[in-house]
Amino acid sequence: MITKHDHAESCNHHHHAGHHHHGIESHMHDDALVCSGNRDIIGDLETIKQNLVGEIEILTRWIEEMSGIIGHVKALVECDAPVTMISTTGVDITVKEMVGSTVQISIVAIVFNTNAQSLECRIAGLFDAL
Amino acid sequence: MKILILGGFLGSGKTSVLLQLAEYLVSLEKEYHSEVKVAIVENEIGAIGIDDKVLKKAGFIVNNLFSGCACCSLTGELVASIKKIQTELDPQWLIIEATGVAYPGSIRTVILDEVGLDATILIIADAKRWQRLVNAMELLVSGQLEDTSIVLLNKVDLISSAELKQVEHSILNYNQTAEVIPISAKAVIPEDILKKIVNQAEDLYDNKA
Repeated sequence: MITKHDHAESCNHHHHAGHHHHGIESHMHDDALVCSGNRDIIGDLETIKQNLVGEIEILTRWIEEMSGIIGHVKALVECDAPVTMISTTGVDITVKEMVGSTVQISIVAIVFNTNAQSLECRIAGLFDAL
Repeated sequence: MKILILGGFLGSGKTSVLLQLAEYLVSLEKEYHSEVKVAIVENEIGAIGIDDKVLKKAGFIVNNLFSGCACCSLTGELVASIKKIQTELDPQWLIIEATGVAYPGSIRTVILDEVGLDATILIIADAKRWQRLVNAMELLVSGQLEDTSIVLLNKVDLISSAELKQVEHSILNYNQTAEVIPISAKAVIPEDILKKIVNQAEDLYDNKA
């Protein structure tokens, strides 16, 4: 049987403002806590993907340690193509490959028996760690 | 328009099954000697969609219902969406992927009452997590089994044959008439299984017609 679990851990990262995390929202649907978030990150796609896998593992362990039940945690990683800038002042043409790409990360966690505020903090922290 | 409702708990593999099923339906074009149009309604309780993007990348027409559940809080939106698809696209097949916390039987009732069309329900169950989920939320997972005649028992590659028997037995305790078909949706689902699902939906459609 599901029992209510009200433990809320404190949130100590930079995006904390009245417990609203930009780009993250959560709501309850019956017993399910639904938390969604997205963020654009500039960086190397492969590194971000690798970090994301590690961060989701950490999130998973945290939910289970809090006696939560994971419905699912899903993330989607989308990336624009490498950006090239072509410019000229009339003398010659410069072609510059821009370093780093904008990577859009979307994450949805649907869990049971987990505190909403704590989960939002965890997901905000996950984004910060990428 | 034949309607298939894909239900089952979160993480059971609904989207993986949906992709293979939709691709199979499109492949029937050769058999039917005409285009087979498949539309998908993707319902997610989250504000952000993930599965709809996966399905769109695969080339399918996807209508989104976000931030609620088609069996309860978004019934009006579901009905409007089905009517719009019927009018604007008129596909041969409509597949509705329910949220992992929906009761597919309720969705079927809404469609029957409001649109006048019957639907076939297909449930996907997670063999690996079945017992744990039954222990934690029996009402939900057993309620999802109501009103279906086929349960695709997914992820059987992750359990032993003894565990498989236990899970099958448990499912049949909740729905005695269902046929439980073991699959592993991360691999290719055998064509005869997909055909069985399609045949059942076609039979329902033919009988109603």
